[in-house]
Amino acid sequence: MTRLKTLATLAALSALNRKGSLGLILASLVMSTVLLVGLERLRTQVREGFSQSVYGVDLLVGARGSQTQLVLYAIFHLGGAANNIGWDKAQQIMKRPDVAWVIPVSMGDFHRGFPVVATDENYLAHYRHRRGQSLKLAQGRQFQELFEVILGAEVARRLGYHLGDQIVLSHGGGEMARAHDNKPFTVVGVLEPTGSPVDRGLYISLQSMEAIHVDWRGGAPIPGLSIRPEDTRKFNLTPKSVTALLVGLKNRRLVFQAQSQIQNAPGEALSAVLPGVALDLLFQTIGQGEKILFLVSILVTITGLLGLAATILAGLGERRRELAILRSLGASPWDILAIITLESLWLTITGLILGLGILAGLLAFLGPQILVNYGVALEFTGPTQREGLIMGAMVLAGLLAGLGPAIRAYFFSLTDGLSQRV
Amino acid sequence: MVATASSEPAVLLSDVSFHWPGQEILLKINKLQLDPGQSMFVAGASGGGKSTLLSLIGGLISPTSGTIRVAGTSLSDLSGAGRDRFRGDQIGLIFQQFNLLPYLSAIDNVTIPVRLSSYRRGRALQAYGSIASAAESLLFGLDLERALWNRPAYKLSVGQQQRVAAARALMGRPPLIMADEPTSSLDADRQRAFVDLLLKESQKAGASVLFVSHDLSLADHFGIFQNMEDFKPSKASHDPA
Repeated sequence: MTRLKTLATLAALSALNRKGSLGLILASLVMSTVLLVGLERLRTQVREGFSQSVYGVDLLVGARGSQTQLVLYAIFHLGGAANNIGWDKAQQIMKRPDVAWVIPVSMGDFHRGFPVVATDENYLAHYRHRRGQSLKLAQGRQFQELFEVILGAEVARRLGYHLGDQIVLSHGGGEMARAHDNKPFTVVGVLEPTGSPVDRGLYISLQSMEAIHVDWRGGAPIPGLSIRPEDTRKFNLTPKSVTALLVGLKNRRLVFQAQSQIQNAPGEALSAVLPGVALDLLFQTIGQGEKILFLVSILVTITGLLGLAATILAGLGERRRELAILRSLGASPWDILAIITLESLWLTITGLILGLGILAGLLAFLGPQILVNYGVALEFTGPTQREGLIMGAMVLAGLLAGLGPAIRAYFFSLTDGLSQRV
Repeated sequence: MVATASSEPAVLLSDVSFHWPGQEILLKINKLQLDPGQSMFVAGASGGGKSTLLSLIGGLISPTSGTIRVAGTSLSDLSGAGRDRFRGDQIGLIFQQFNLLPYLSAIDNVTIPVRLSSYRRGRALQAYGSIASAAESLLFGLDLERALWNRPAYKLSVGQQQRVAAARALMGRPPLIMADEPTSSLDADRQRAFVDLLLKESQKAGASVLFVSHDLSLADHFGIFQNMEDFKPSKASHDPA
C-alpha cells in the first residue's frame, strides 16, 4: 500500500512537472466532462421540472388535438392552442360529481413577452408546484376586481414592478402585437418564487380577459370603437370560452373513467389528457435527439481520452531517463506500468473534478437565465446514480487509455535496463 | 563498523558470458570478486560493455551463462520481480548524469529508495531513528548546504546533483554501491573531491563500491583496479583473477 502511494505520488508529481503539455489534454478532458455530465443533468432536470409542474393535476382538458401541445401550452405557456373550449362545456365538467376542483385557464395575451393567464381563485388555491407546494403571495392580495393583475415572481423582478403599478397587456406575443392600452391593469399582488413556469406568468380574472376584449373582434380592435374601462361593467363578462381546464379529481383512481367520459361526451369534441402520460410521450419524442446528443458527447470524450493516450505516449521518449532512474532504485517494470497508468488516472480524475466544478459554476450562472426563459429549474445537486455511473465509466476509460502507453513503457523498461539512451 | 553481516563477497561473478540476442559475445568474465568494504575501479572506454556489466550485476539483464552472486544471493535464483526488489534492497546506483528526478526536491530524491524498499527503510531507521535524520545526515556528510535540501533537483548544479545522487545511493545502507562515470561532467578538482566523499561515506556505511570510469586518473583512490579489456572475449583466457 505504501508502495502504491509512493508510485501514485511520483506519478502526480511527474505529471505536474509536465503541466505545459498535459494542461491542454486536461482541458479537453474538462470539456468532455462538462458536456457529458452537463447534458445528463439537463436531461434529467428538464424532465424533473416538467413533471413537477403538473403535480396534482389529474386531467388536463382542452379542445381536441395533440396531447403534448395541450400540456406545453396550458402548463408551460409554450407554443399556442389551436382551439378553445366553450364555457358551457367547461361548466359541465366543473359540475361533474367526481371532480374536486377545476382551474380554468384562458390565454393569448402577453405583457412584454410574459404570458398572461386568465383564471379564477382556484389557481392560487389548487395549483401545485415542486413536491406539492401551493402558491403563495409574497406581497399584496388575490385579484378581485376587473383590471387587477398579480405577477409571477420573475415578472416582478425582471420588470421592476411593485404593488400599485399600472401595466398594459397586449394581444398576442409577437412584434406586431396590438396593445390593450385603453384598459391598463393595476398590480395588486406578487407571487413568491417557485422555480417553475408560474414565475413567468401574469394572472388576471377571466372577467378581466373578457373586459379587455369587449371592443375587439377577430383578434383586432373594432375600428372607431373604444369602450372606457368603467363602461365594460355594463357588458356581460361571463367568459365565452377558455383555453384549457386543469382538473383535480376526488378519487385519482377513477381518472381513466373520467377521461373516457369527458372525451366521449356528446357535443364539442374534447381531449382529456393525463399530464404525466403526455409528458412521457413528449420525452419519448425528444428521447431520440437526446440519444444522439449523448452519443456525440461520448465520442467527444473518447476523442479526449485518445488524445490523453497519445500525449502520454509521445512523452514517453523523453521520460525514458526518468523511468530508468526509477528502475535503478528498485522499481519493477510493473511499477513503471503502474506509474504511467496512474498518471492517466490522475489526469482523468482531475479533469472530472475540474469539469464538475465548472459545471456547478455554469449552472449557478446560467440556471436563473434558463429558469426565466424556459421555466426549467437547473440546480447543481449531488450526482444522480446515472451521473455516478457516467463518471465511473470515464475514470475506467481513463485507466484503459493509460494502459496502452503503460504497456509500451513496461517493455521499454525491460529492454532499456540501466542504459539511459537519450 | 561493517554493516554487511555476511562474510560472502559483495559481488561474485563466475564464468559469466553475455551477448545481446543475435549478436556476438560482448563480455566474458571468468571471475570478478569484490569483498565487503572493498572498493574497485573498473576502467574501460565507452562502448566497452561497462553499462552492460552494471546491468548484469543489478539484475536488469541476465547473463547468457555463468552465475552472478550479490551479497551471497544468486541472481538466477530470483524471479524478475525478485531481482528488482533485490536491487532496490541491496544496491545503490549513481549514474553519469540525469540521476535525479527533476520534479522532486533534493531531500525527496534521497528518500525514494527507502520508500520503495522496506529493507532499506528498516536499516535507515535502525541507524538514524528516522528517515529524515538519515537523509539529513547523508546530505550533511556529502557537503550539501542545508539551504539546498528543499530545492527542486533541476535547480541544483551538476556537482550538487551528483552529491545528492550519492546520498540517495547510500540511503538505507545498501551493501553495494555501483557508480557509472559519475564524475565525467565535473572538473578535475571536483572529481577528486567527489570520489573522496563517496568513498568516505561508503566506508562509514559499510558499503562496497564498484566504480566504473574511463578516467584512469581516479583509479588510485580505489583498492582494486580492474580493466574492462580483460572481459573482452579474446582476452578472457588471460584474466589474471
